[in-house]
Amino acid sequence: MAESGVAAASLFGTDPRLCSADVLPPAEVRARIEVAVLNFLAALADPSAPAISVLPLISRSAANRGVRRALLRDGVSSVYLSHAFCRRSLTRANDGKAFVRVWKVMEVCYKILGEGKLVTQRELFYKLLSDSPSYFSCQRHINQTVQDVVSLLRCTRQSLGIMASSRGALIGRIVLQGLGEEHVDCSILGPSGHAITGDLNVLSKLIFSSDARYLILVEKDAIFQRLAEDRIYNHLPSILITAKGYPDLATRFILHRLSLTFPNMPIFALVDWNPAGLAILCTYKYGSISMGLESYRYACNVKWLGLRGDDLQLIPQSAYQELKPRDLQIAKSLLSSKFLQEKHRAELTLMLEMGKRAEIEALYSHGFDFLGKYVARKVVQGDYI
Amino acid sequence: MASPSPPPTASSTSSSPHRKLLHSLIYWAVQRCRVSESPCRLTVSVKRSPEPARSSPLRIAVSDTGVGSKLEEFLELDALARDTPVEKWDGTLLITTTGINDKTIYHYQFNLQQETSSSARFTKLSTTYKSHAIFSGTEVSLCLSNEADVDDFILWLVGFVHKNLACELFIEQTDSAGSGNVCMSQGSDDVHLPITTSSIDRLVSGLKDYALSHGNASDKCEACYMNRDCLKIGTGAVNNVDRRKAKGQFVEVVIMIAHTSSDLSCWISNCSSTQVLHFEDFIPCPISQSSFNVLMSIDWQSYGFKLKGGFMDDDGNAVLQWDNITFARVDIAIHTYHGGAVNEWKISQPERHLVRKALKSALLGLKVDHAEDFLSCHGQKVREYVPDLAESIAGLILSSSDQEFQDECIALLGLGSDQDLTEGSVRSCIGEKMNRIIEMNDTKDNVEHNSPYLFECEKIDEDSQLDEDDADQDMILDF
Repeated sequence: MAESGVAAASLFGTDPRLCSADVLPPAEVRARIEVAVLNFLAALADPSAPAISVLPLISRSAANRGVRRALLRDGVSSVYLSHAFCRRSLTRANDGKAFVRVWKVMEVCYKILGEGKLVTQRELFYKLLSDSPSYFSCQRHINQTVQDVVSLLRCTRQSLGIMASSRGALIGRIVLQGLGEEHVDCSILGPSGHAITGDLNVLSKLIFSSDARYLILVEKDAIFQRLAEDRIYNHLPSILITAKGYPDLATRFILHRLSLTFPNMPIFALVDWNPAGLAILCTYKYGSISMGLESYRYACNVKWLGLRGDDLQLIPQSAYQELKPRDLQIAKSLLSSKFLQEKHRAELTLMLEMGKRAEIEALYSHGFDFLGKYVARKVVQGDYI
Repeated sequence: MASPSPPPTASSTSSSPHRKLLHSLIYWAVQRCRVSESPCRLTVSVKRSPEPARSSPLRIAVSDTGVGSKLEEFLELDALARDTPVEKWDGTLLITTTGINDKTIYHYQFNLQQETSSSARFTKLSTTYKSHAIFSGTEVSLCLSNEADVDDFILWLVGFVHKNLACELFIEQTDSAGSGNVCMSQGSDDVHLPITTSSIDRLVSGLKDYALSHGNASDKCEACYMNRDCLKIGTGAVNNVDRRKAKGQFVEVVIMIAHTSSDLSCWISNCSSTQVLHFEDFIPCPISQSSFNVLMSIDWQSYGFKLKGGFMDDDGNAVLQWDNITFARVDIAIHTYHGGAVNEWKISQPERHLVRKALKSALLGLKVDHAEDFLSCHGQKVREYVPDLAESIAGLILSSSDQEFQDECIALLGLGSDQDLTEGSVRSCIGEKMNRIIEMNDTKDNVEHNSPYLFECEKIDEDSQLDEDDADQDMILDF
């Protein structure tokens, strides 16, 4: 059947339905940009039918999303984007500005790559804000346009010379060795841990050594710091990692590398009991469509440790909060996706039925050291889904 | 045979009987000129003495050199005569007329206030003999009471006649010293148009005069006149003439545009409204509701005009209000008239679709001749992006260290390598090409589907559109 055909293709080569952004050296990306310019000029100057070309972008919508299922029991499923395109056109109403934005970002990237530099999206925003304020008025414009360029040129964001933000942090029983640098023993750091650089190149060259048995993925910085202060990773040999909110690419990248380096180290997620928490977990687990051309590479087999439905008995009634409209939106989107596992679906349904959400901090009602004990107990008992 | 009655004037409340009277007399004079098929002259003369202004009457004469009058048309003034109080007009008309083949000139006196059966109604006065001269013409003169607002009346008359665009008006004002003074005179353009000039060309010429004298009756504005070649003109002429029956309706439209120019003080500011000149059978006339509706329903945006609204003013003229357009003057003239023998005209409303067709034809003419000035509103918006886009691409090209790439770009753009290459020249070259393409494709359908893609790709999802607001879709924020 078609399914097995897909399976075979995945084992022995790339899935033909899957659209991917290539990791390319600067010279190659510049070459692609040059081809873009030449094609555009050729169409402009065509003697018989001059025209302003239309930009074909891989469609980053739910309709173009596919799910690649894991072949093995503990394997990784991921979300990918297929080959449906949509257009950016100068002459279409309301699209003109976005069209010009793509060229402006390409212009800046071309120059950055020429100088061998790497910039963050934030720095890019400030540069374009000062050069072209009428086109770029908020960070979202930059982020979307960068993804447009990724979709157009089919190369990764880092290949364009744009670094991910440095948001994540790491702490625990692991030693990091960078090229030509001092090694960093993450078990003796302060509770804010080691900041994860946004430069994927640097991350890809790190050498890890660790005697940890578990990887604990924490949604929030406050929880990360609490567990770090308690030095949970010494009682329970583990590495703690956080993106302080929604998973940025650099954190996912290093998580993925760790999972490859230590294939027997399970990854446990500690998130709030609400739709957003589950969404964060799913992003680590499957990837996202907004960066769908790259993010499928970094999907990991993440298990849901807590907070879960069974833990609700530990939460006092007063700690529950109402689900907000945004929570409902996220829940709806998750429920309609193809990748959601049964057990996850059940948890989500329970949240909706109760109409309530709860944060991990609610466990502090049992004392500030309760959290560490809770985590350790669950891990040891294998209480995860 | 019934002669055609003049088209209706504006509502009776706003128009005085004086005006209606003049309107009719001039209308008939014009038709007589048309029928004669040779160049004619029409003169309206208004005489008054300035002192004791209230008591002395206005003496008005309308004379033309068209065919002789059969007098029937004057009977139509019966109703008007009865409606007018005697102190304003005593109902008397002095008519002098002669046909080209007549040997005599006839003089008559009509008194329309009198009953039909009265003998005082129609009097034939003595005739004069033409000796050897061959001519035809008619003069109608009458006395109207000197209204308090006679200046207003004169102003209206001047405006009316000015719009008529091809006749002369003499106003004599005899002052107390008794010396005459030719106050104002209108003529057609500096050159008398040759006989063979079509009516649409006359309309163009007349509208030009109107535009160059700021639409009012003062003398031509010298400054505007010097720049008359800057006026952009679009014309449309349609008809539904039935060749066999040799009659039908003609509609001609002329649209004249002057761009704002910082050099010319008259044309510095944007035009905010246009009073549409409307003629029926060669005389100015209030616009019909149906033609007004056609004006309002035209897709002005396709030609770059932003119409804010429109209304019919008290005199029955259509006024179009513009919203921030970059033209200093927008003048529009619509002329509908009948072809065929005068006595076979059926007075009817000009057909809507004829008026619409003529308007569109005129607008299209403007667009074809001056594509970049009359780009649709959508096209103008697109064009605003061109400088920034051209700058971006030019910047990219010139920042490259790859000489081969630069050379290839320059070659594609058609810029010779011997030229001094600056970012400015590359930018303007790219910009111009884009502007030409935008103009070419303006208001065409299906441009999107026919434009080439930058890169080859397998299939395009036709309906899909990158939704800007879908940022929340996967709950992904700034990473």
